[in-house]
Amino acid sequence: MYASNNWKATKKLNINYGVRVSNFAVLGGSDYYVLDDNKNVIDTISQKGSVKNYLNIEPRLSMSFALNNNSSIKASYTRNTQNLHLITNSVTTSPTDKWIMNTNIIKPEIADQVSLGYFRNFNDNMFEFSAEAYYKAMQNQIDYKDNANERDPVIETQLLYGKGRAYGLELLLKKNKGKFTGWVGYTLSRTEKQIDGINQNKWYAARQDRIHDVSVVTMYDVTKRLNVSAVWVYQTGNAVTFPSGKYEVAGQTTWLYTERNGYRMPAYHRLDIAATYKLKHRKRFNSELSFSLYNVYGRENAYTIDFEQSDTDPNKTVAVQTALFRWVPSISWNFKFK
Amino acid sequence: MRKIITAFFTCAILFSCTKEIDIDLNESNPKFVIEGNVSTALGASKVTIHKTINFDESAPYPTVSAALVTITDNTVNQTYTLSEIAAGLYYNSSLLGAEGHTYTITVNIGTEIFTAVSTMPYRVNLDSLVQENLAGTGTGGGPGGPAGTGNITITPKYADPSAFENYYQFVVSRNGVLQNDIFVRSDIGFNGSTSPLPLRVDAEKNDVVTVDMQGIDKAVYNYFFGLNENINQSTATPANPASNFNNGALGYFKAHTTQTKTIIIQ
Repeated sequence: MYASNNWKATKKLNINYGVRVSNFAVLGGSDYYVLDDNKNVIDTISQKGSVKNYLNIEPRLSMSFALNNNSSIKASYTRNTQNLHLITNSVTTSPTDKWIMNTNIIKPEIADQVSLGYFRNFNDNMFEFSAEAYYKAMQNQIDYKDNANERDPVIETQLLYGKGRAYGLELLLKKNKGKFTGWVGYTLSRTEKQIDGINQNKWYAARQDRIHDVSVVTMYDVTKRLNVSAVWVYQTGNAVTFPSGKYEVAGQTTWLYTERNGYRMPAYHRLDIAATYKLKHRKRFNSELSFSLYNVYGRENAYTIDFEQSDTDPNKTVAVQTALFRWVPSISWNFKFK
Repeated sequence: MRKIITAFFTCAILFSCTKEIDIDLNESNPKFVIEGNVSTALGASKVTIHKTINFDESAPYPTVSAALVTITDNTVNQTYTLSEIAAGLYYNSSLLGAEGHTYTITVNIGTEIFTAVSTMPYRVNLDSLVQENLAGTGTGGGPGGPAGTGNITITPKYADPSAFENYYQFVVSRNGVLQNDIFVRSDIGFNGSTSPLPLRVDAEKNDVVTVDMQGIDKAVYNYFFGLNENINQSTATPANPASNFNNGALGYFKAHTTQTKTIIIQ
């Protein structure tokens, strides 16, 4: 259910408000579990019909105020609920994500977000600039407990719940007209969680916490038929858990950990280029041919990092990175039928 | 109607590249690693203490000498002082564990004090060891975690008492050499039953395999379960296994029963 209203309060002030009511029913048919305080399964629910109902009200409000013909300020508040949850591990040896639905135990994630932005066009709308800051408070955040087993058939036994926060600043400069178009975007942000039982109950970075995110997209019309483009992206590496030392227990060497997600994968960046050539119009179809090269400078972006015994000194430990793709050239021929 | 068709050709250079990289790991403050055992076997109650080292340093691990180590039997209120018989190894020949007793260890290193408590459960009899050559049938799993990766399966037969929550550790030796595999079991899911999980060990025909069945408490079980996940790098979220020591010491304090049986591999 959704209801919204737009109210033009004054010539310059526009207010939009609404509310969405969402209901999520956890339906029987498959097994659900009841856990005790130590997360042991003490009962299994396998009834038909609704096992649990989650009713959520999501209000939203946004305002935009026109400063003049070219610039405006926008502010908004939104509540969102999420019934599908992403849980990620914190290792670098096999990074895997898992998506899970609400259950009788796993509640919908609720996020309240406020944002404030400044938008401006200039040079006769040739350029567009925006700056937007946001803060998001999140409830019912989920993460694996320490030493979790992600293959456990009752995944709830491996999870802990707490709160989260995300905040950041997004800057965007866009050129819309002319032979040369494109944009530059930069986002500075943090995404963190605080869950009792993880990281000594202190705030820690979520795996997907991306402090810096840069994208540069450029397109140039060389002739009417030939267009070339280049895209460069840069992202802070994922927050991951690395060992900070080592020790021996029960006759075996094991790692010393100091915090959850306290380290970073190496930064991810790459440049892609492409050229597209429009072929002659045909009676029945138009077509274009494009050539592209992914990862022009062959950056070895880390996919996994493993800690291994050194080949030269078995008492020493080294970090070994595996990257998947370097250059990927491709050709595509697109047809549009009339 | 417009249709869009794309003929696509890509030549992914499909090889992965691996290389050693430098990771700027934090220098960690050295932490104390205490391994304390109270056993019903003569001479098996002892404590070792060493320190952690940085990631890029080489073993051996530095031992910790001149610690004051005492173990108190809380049930009869008797305290034993352990003396250092080798660098980082503390021992008292008259300390012999008793079933059902609770023990407290106190370790004094410089100005720091670490304590832990462990209760020795009542002994469950190990009836027999049964060899089954089920190589390649998966990793066991179930309550108690992976059952090792060896080629031979040895099943310890015992009757789990239903009146208690029981936790077990099996320590395996092959031809007198202690094996590193960590086998811990809880009776969650099969309390009172007689069909425990098999242990997978590496052995060959005519090898003499000894299994030491130890009764442990829940905290010790959780510690070794977490340790095993870490060592096998099979956990989603690596962290130090939860120690029963306080004040940030690593390691464990384990009061355990012990009973060994031997089998010759057929």
